[in-house]
Amino acid sequence: MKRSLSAVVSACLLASALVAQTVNAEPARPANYPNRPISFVVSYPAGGGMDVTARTLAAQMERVTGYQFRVENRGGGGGIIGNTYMATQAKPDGYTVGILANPTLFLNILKQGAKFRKSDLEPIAGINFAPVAWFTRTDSKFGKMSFNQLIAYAKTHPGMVKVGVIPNASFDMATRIVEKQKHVKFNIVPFQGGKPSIVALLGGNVDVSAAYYSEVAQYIKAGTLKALAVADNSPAAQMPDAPTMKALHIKMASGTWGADRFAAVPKGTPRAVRNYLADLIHKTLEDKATQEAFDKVGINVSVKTMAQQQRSYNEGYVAVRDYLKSAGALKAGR
Amino acid sequence: MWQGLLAALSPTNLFVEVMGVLIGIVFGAIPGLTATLAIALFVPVTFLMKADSGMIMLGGIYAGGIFGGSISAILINVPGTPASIITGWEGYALAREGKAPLALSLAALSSGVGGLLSGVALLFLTPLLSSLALTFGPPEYCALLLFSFTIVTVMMDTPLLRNLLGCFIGLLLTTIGLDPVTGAARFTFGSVDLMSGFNLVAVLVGFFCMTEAAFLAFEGLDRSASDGVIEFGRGHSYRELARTLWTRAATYLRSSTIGVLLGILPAVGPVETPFIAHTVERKFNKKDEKFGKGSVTGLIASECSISANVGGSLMPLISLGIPGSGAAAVFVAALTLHGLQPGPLLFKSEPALIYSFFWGFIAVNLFMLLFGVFAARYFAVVLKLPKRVLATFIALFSILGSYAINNSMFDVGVMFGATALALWLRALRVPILPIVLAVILGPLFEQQTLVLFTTSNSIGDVLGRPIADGFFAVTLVMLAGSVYRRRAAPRPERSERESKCCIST
Repeated sequence: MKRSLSAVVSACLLASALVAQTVNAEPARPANYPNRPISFVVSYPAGGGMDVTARTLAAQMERVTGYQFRVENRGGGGGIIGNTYMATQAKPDGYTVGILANPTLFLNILKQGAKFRKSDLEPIAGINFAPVAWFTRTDSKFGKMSFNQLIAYAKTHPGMVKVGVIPNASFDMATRIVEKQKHVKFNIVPFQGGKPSIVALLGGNVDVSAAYYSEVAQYIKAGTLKALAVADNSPAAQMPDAPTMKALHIKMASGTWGADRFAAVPKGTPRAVRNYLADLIHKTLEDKATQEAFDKVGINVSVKTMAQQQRSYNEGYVAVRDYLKSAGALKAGR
Repeated sequence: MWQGLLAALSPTNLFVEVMGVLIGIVFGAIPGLTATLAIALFVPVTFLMKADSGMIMLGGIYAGGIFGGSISAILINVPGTPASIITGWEGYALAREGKAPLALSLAALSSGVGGLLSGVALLFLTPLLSSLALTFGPPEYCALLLFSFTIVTVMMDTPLLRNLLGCFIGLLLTTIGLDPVTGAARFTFGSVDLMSGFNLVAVLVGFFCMTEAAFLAFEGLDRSASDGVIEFGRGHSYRELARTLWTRAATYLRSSTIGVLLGILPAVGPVETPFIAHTVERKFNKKDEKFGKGSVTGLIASECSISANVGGSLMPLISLGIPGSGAAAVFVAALTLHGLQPGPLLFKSEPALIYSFFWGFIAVNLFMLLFGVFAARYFAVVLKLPKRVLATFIALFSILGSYAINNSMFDVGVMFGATALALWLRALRVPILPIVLAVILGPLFEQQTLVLFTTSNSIGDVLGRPIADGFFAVTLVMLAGSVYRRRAAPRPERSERESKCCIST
């Protein structure tokens, strides 16, 4: 009896020691950091999805950590200006964190020849991944079709199905991957931004639009629009009924064609500061109240640790490079 | 609906209405700081409030900012926001006649009336009129844009070829940046900053504010001139002001309608609107010889349409989730961050919020009217400053404002470049308004023609759209009429035409 009690006690001690061990594994707060507000740099103007992501994260970080966070918009050039600033000019001191999005960043490097490399930035946390999806009006003739029926229709009517996309972005590229693998020809209509493309879809000027769920959530709930398919291999949480690429037998890289929103610091940020920041963001994103706050603004958090995000960062880079190579759009020397 | 009225009159909301208008007017009146910037800056402040108060405050800043821009446009010929370019044209001419107080009060009155009418439209017609945003497809936009380009080249009294040259220069400037389809870099010379093209606000601040600062500085440093203080002029009677309400009722109504309708279109904001409203009024007031040179009707047309545009741009925002202007886009973010998704369901899920916002918007315009008519004249205190001091302040805020757009020094460089270009063109007597309109509308025109060409299979797709046909027809009639007029009329005195061109810039 006594022995078993002592065994229990010692087991408890051991367990608590183990817990203490894991607590100690959390990165310690670096000396004298942070002693002023930390900036979240967004490469897009105030008001867009990235801006909302950064502002929500900043507010939640302040609540969870007690430190101060600021959002700084450096818009222009479809993201390239802010991304270049983060990679080449921002001080690697832990006070400048980029809230960035892929594959835009990769396209800056691989297609537009931006003056930085993938290794100039170090991802520290994954915030969310919103896949591209194709939407159509429920009262149009495509509203009654499944994705495969749409493809069959496009086969017999080459160049007749008008698909609204944002050119040189995941919307455009995912649509072209489908075209190539299913051997069909759409009439791809370029729009500057997601909203104009949705307006054209609602107004009947295009038949299908490639967009993010958050841009059309209201219309899906109202029953005006419906999702045809998702450009990813696992079902999207907000539209579980839309078939995935895997289900449709289309080979497409996972977690690439959409908005992979993540936090990154410039290369050369002190290791201790980087790890501490990564841990703060991770802790904030894991918090239940944070996820509710993101849900409220229509963003579905999918947390990734620093290691996971770095892996998907490297895999995504290869997928985008392969696509551009096959499309003949890779910038020379990349 | 009536509960919304009560909510809009609660003490908190009355307070944010007044605060919003005042903040907006101050931001708007300072050259270089725009209404959009003011809204973006105050979005975080609204998080401390309830959603309806926050939205009303932003609405107040928006309406106040757009009106505030006209104060500096009238007093010192420096449009505080790009929307006030035409107001400055008429208002400054009035001010030079010693009627600055009248011009200011009139701007406030017409701004208020335009805003109130758009507020009433917002309250009763939002779902109905919002569908206009959807019926406007690429053919309609292309027709509307062609119409706008024609207006400026044909209707301005400066020589036709110079107007065309201005349009051409403007369109050329907008080709800089990434190609909208292929993403190829055009005229960027490897510079990342040039990839987004020249920022519109930076260019306009250079064209209008910095240029005027340079002129004020020249005049201020000229010792031989008088004391370097601009005359303000004497007061006016309120009866005279109120009388315009019925003597020019048609102008008020027409311009407000144009403002609301153009506001609804997602791609057309307050900057373009007064150009069109002003030209339409000119057609209806052919006998008004002062039109464009200090005409009361012209001033009313411009102010009414800008202010009505604000309410119009909020309609598709609330009912479709599609912002009707750049500033309205910031509203989307503010709403989203308050946990509200603008779109077709918002009317059903949050009717209380929407109606208190609508009534709040009407109250905001009422406060703006009262404040403008009775207090805007005190802004004239800036005229007590010596010209060189004024020039220094305008230059300072021009630099600050262009930096604040994207936190980028490059935009400051663009602003100075635009100033140099404006001064050079002025010396060459090339009018600047066609350039401005082309710079504003060029990117939109390129995108819409592109989409038009990809989506239509035959010319029938374009001609089968009645709204587009209407615009095309009006454009053709205007072209033909103006060619006839120019050939029939004796050539006006050269000097007179050129002095006009300089006032207009």
